[in-house]
Amino acid sequence: MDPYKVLGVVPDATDEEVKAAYHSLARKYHPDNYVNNPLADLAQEKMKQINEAYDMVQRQRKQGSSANARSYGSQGSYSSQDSGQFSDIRRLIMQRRMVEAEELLDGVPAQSRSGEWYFLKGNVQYSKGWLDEAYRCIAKAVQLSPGNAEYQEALSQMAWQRNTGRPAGSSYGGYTTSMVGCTPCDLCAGFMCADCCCDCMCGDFCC
Amino acid sequence: MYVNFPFGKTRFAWQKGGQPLFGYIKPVKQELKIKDYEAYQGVYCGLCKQLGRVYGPFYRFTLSYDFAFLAMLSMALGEEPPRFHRENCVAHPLKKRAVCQANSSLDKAAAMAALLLYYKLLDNLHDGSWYERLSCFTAYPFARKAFQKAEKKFPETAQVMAKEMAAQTALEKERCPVVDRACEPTAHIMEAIFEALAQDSLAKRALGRMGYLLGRWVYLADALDDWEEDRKTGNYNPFLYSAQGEISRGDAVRSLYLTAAEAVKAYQLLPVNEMFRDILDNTMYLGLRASVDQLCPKGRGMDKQDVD
Repeated sequence: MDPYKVLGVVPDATDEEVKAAYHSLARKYHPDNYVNNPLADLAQEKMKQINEAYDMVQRQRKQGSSANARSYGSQGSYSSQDSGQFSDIRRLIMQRRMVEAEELLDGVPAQSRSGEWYFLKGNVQYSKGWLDEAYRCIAKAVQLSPGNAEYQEALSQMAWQRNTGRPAGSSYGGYTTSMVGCTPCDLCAGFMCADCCCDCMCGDFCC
Repeated sequence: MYVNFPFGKTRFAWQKGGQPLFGYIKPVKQELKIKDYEAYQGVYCGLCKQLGRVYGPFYRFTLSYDFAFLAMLSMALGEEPPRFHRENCVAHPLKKRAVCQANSSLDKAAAMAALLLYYKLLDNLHDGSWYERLSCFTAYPFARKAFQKAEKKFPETAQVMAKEMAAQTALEKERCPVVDRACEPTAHIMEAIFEALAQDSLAKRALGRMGYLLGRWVYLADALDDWEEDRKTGNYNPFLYSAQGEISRGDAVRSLYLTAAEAVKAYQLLPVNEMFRDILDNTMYLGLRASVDQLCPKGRGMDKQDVD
């Protein structure tokens, strides 16, 4: 494994650059972003690779002296509260046995559907890709148990994605793109569009 | 009434709203580097030529951004680097352009486009207006031949498509009141298409989820696009016939945003190679969002609370 390739930096990058690259990758693949995601194990694997690569670079660069401690753990902070009313269903969800989990959930009579029930139902829906239902269930869970941090966290992550269209912690190529308002950029963009039209008709007139 | 299937919605030159390029999964051009823009165009041209070469010139009209994206993603995951060659074509007779040469990725994307077009035609043949039935009837023999060719390459994917297209038609006939369920057949088709891009099981899982979510996203984007028209004609639209009553535009946009964000999470886990990374990143992080904003500009048709 080439640790620099994993971190996406050149071998003669400064310590700061390596650190910045590590931080941005770690934010992207942080277990918190993949809680209950069916691909959580892949993200964890990726996180492990990134941590190893960073440790390796640190060791190579500071042989002898104590390496900087990483700030992101890889031990996946899944909040697996085994207590609660539906611990058996929770366990099924942890094992990704969604069909069984959903069957059990649907068997619970309407009057005993608590905040936890809605949260777990939301997780099952989320894992299937039924995102609207998932959001509705998790919002209901928060409404029924307003003090629960786990539900609150899940809801605020979905709300962030619903408003921004991207997962928390991801950034695009380091560019800051402003896509609202009229700036000189828009003028440029206008020219580029015009250029594309020229492209379709017959070759580049503009540039 | 006919199925709202977003792919193979081939706007033939003689159909209304005829536009040469369509599809929703596309990069934001302004943010691309010139070299990436040229590579993108090259893949696009290459796919067009591949369609013409393998399935006949008629098939060039099925070219869309969505399948160019599929071809590029496949190249980004494959080992053989694509080759580009400067050449002319019918659409750009005066200037030579870099065109991606035939490879297995273009072949896959072209086959998938041919399969989807066939099922779309079949569906129109059964349920379309007399005018659509006539045009589909004319096109049918060509489509049939192309279908057989493509089906030989991807028999399992073709099977999934046949099953899910039928499911999609049934859901729309019964005016499915659950948005999540209405998207599902299209999402499953895309899941199967994306899974066919990789061999190893880990990548297949990530691709499958990404495909499912992109399929869902495309279906919803198409529904948002057809909103006004469906309201007038009474055609089925998942946003108009939801159990919660008509869904506000703001909520429709937020649902699309959430879907895009989840698709990005799956995409991030794919081992994409350097050559296409910037284009794919651009498409996933900026393009999906930009397409939604284009379909529903802020301030138009959204209520006041949504604009904030």
